[in-house]
Amino acid sequence: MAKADSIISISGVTKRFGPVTAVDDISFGIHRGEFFSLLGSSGCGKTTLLRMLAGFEQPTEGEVFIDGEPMAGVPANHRPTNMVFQSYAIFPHLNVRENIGYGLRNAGISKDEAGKRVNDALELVKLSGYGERAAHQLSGGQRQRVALARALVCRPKVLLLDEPLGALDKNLREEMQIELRALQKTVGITFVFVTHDQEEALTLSDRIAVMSKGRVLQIDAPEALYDNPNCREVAEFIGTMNIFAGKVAGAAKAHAVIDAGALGPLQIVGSGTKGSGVFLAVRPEKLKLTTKKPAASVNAITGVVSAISYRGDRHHFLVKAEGHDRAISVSQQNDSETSATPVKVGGKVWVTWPYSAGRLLSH
Amino acid sequence: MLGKPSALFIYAIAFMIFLYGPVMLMPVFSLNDSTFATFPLKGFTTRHYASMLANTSMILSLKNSLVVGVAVSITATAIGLPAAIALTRYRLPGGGPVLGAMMLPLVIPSIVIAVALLAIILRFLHMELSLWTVGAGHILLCIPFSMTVLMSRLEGFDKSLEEASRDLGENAWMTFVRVTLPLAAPGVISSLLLCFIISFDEFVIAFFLTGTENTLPVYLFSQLRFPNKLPGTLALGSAILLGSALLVVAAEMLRKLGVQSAKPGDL
Repeated sequence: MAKADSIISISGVTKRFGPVTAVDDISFGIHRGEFFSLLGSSGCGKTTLLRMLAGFEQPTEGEVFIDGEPMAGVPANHRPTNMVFQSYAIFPHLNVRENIGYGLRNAGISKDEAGKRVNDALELVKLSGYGERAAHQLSGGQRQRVALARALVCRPKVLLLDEPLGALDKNLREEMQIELRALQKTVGITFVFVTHDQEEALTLSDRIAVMSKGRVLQIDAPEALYDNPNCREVAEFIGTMNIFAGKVAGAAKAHAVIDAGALGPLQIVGSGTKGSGVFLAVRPEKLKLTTKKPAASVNAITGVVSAISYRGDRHHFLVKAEGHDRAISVSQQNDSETSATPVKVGGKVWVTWPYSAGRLLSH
Repeated sequence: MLGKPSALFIYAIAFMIFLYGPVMLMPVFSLNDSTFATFPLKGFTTRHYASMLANTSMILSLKNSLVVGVAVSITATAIGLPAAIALTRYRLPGGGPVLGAMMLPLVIPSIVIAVALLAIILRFLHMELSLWTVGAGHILLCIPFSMTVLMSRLEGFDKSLEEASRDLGENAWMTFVRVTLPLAAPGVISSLLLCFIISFDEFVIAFFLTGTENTLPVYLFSQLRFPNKLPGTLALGSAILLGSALLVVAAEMLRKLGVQSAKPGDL
């Protein structure tokens, strides 16, 4: 259960609030020194799980171990974790230095040592010279840095971050993502990061746990999650995914043949039990649009372009195909070959992709 | 603006005179060389202030009022603060009815409270009437005011501030001392001042519940029958006016010096 390299081990943890089960029998480990994200839409239980790590909530069932120590009954003030709150929770009656030094009063270190640590922390988050600023004089990004410094100065074994970038505007958020990642590498502390933003999770994390309805669907590295989702929900949550439902009709060489109803037979690398319901998932950027009927060695669906949107580096197309409810998303890079695209809204097109591009999902 | 004063401007001036005119007359008459508070003014004197200082029973009643006022303001605020925290921070079962019950003295006429308290103290508790019973009555009266002031301050208090303190290693008590109390401080100061003024000013409950020692309003009422004592009263009133003005200014400066943020939920 508790692997040697796990700094955090979550074992059969369930949390109920009255009749509501917020976290449902979750077990996994978080490796020492990794940047780990809990990803899911609101209400999936990710924040509740983080709060159980911090000690603000107690599991109804199961146990949490941090660095091998059982955490049952250990209050937040005695845990080797520190947290960056969603609202930052900067103490408004204290200045920046006092905020950052707040947790050092009980650290059993001298005043000089504490002062030195605060200075180091200020430097770490690039706020040197801001120490005497009052809390209300800080911008959103600066508050975020103070919250980070205040948590890191206590030298926790694990830093918990509850959607810390959610309140920042887009440019600042992207800047902070890069800084946060660099900071984590510098200090080498395990980060557990809660977010609902899949792009943010992909950018920052070593590994991501995708959560839904109190359960963990998949834990993997960002590339693996994107390329090899283990179920339909993960596939649709991470990025955009076209999903075609069908039944396994048979096999051809190393391919499974899927009967996708009106869309016709589709082929994909892999195999499945004949007759079982499956989903074929394929990313928009793996699809190609052509106006001529393609060769027989690829999957092809015919449809009508219902919308085109220009995204600068690429064009995004929505294609309506008969027998498929949702429009098919197609993304094409605007390189020299395709920039002068002849495709128009209302035009009849073929959507094609090779057999190796999709993924076969059983649920 | 410099030409014809607008109707609104005249109205504002008239309103200020209506509000503060009678109060401002008091210091004027207190320096007037006459036994009666009437126009025309006769001449400048400080003899009323001398007679005020010589009036030991009046000074004693002033001292009584100050002692009761200070004790009441501290006690009512000390009771009001935990209640206000509990009611604003947590969803308590039955929180609504509890709040309603605590706010009830606001709408009950104080004569009803006074009679009820008198009956309870004499019939059931068999206590002697004294400044203690006056103080107890005033605490009852002040708690809803204290709670109103404190709750409006604590409303919107970011709960994660206290969690952050716990997370940074402080226990519940030190979190209260280092985070909750400083953030509630302006409310606490307002509550102390308000409760003091209410107690200092209160007549009905004090009149019913006091024993041989009088508070200032009760004493002054008893003296109204003797007009020759009135100028000493005017001198006292003027002194109190000056004292309370200084107190309010001092409290405001203290508040500005202390917490910079306007509201605890600002950040």
